[in-house]
Amino acid sequence: MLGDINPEMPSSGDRVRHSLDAERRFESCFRAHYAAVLAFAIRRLADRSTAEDVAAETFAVAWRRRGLIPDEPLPWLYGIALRVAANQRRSGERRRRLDERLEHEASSRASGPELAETLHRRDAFTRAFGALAEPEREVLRLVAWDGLDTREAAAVLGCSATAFRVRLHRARRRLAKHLEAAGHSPGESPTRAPDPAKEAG
Amino acid sequence: MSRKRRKIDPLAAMAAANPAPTAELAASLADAELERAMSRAVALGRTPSQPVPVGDRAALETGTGRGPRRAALGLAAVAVLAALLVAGSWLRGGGGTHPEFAAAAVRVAEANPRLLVTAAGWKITRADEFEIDSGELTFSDGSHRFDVHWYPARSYEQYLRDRATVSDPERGSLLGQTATTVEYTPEEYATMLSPQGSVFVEVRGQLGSRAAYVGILDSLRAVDVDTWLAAMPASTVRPEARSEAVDQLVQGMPLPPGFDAGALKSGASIADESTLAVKVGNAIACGWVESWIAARAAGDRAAAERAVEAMADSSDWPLVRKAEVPWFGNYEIVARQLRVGKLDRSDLSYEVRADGRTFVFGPAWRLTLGCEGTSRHEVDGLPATP
Repeated sequence: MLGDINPEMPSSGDRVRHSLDAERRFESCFRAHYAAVLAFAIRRLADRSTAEDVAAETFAVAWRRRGLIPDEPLPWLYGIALRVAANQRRSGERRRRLDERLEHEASSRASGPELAETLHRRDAFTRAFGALAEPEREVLRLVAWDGLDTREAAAVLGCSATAFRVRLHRARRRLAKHLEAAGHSPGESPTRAPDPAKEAG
Repeated sequence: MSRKRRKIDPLAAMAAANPAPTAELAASLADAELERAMSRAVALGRTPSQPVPVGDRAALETGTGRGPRRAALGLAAVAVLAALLVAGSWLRGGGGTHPEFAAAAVRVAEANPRLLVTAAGWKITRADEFEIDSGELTFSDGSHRFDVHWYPARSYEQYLRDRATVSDPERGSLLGQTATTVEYTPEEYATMLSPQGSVFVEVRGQLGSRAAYVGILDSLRAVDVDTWLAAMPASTVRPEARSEAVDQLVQGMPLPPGFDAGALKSGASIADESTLAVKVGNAIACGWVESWIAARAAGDRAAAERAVEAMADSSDWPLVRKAEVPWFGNYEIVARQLRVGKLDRSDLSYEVRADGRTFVFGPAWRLTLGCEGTSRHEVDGLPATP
């Protein structure tokens, strides 16, 4: 007999309580963040059904790790979803459909006399955004579309907040340069973009 | 007079082009859609293998990027340790006459790689179920965990390929076997040992550091049958006690038409009592859903209604109330589907990229309930997701 090994285990009551807590935590996390994860996936993929697959797989991982769900789960969930989506997005066909969808979504928000200007801005934006490298695009998506601050976005990418700020600064500068080159006019933005300079980090 | 040129705000341009604002999407999601999505996610979480991005299973699970790294675990040190450990086969020299254990338990124990963590303060905290060629044990010191898995030897090469996507594998030796170690994160490592007999072992620990992980590898010992069985948690149901335990679990339960407990009693395995409760509960729940499907097909409304009522009462089933296993919450998901007549029968398929093969595990309700044939031990040749 090995003296160091204690064959006793925690009481079954303790285990059940722990597991119940984890399960409730998962359910609460799911209800609070499913829409955000699904939207996150749609923003990176071509179609809703593929995005639903990504969201389901993301929460499947969360279910298996439900005892480890952090207090602020969204960056953690985005980190998982980003990698699942990256796998889905490798297909060139999906990428092409994403570009088409981006164009459609942008144009569907405009009507009347604003349409021409909106279409012009859309074309300019599509060209400028497409001219960036994928890592630059992702940095911008995390902040402008996913609404993360620099600390949270850094956690998603697995880098330091300082490193993320540097990457964001470069990506913003490069996007601005490409927007200008593409003839993009500032216009009015329908939603207010977050200012990472004011974010905690 | 010159007009000052307005500066382009790239983030504002980005925000204006957002193809799917979260608030809009959240407002459009119906409750039923949310329930269905949750049911699907739970079912997926139960499946044997994830369609993970090649090369990043760990990042998938931890939500952190893997980043460039070289696994330099210091397996040279581990190789030295191996000389101190029980060299050679864990299958050899069962030792002892083990008078206090029944023959069936001994048969399972003799076939298994009987590895124990012997570091001070560590004990087995989970021994869900194991059979002759597969099983897993979880050790804990109260704040960290260390898992020992064993799988059929025929799956070794597939696991090797799968784990090689985690990080650059480092080879050494441990317990007289070739040891392949990968780094999930700087806090978490896994080591696979080459097959011995009909099984191979994989250990995995999230211990906070490489040094702590090596320390636990250092304390692994192959032990004799008596020592191994004696180290099992008190809640372990041994094969000789299984039949009686199943009878007790079934007592007072509403049993579906044609239910046969015989198959549940005959398993030659060692199981934790809560794992056995889940198996019995799942078999009953799956039986009720099957009877509901058959009744609907035959137009037998009374029989369909009996199934709906039985599942609707699942939270009051004696087994559920007694065992209080969180998994039983999934019965309510399926019960709701039966109540509204919309059972989720969709197939869930996965592409296992190592071999480029696709496996279909559906329908979804069977995965949600954990019906026979949907657990990872029952799906041949798939790397398990820890």
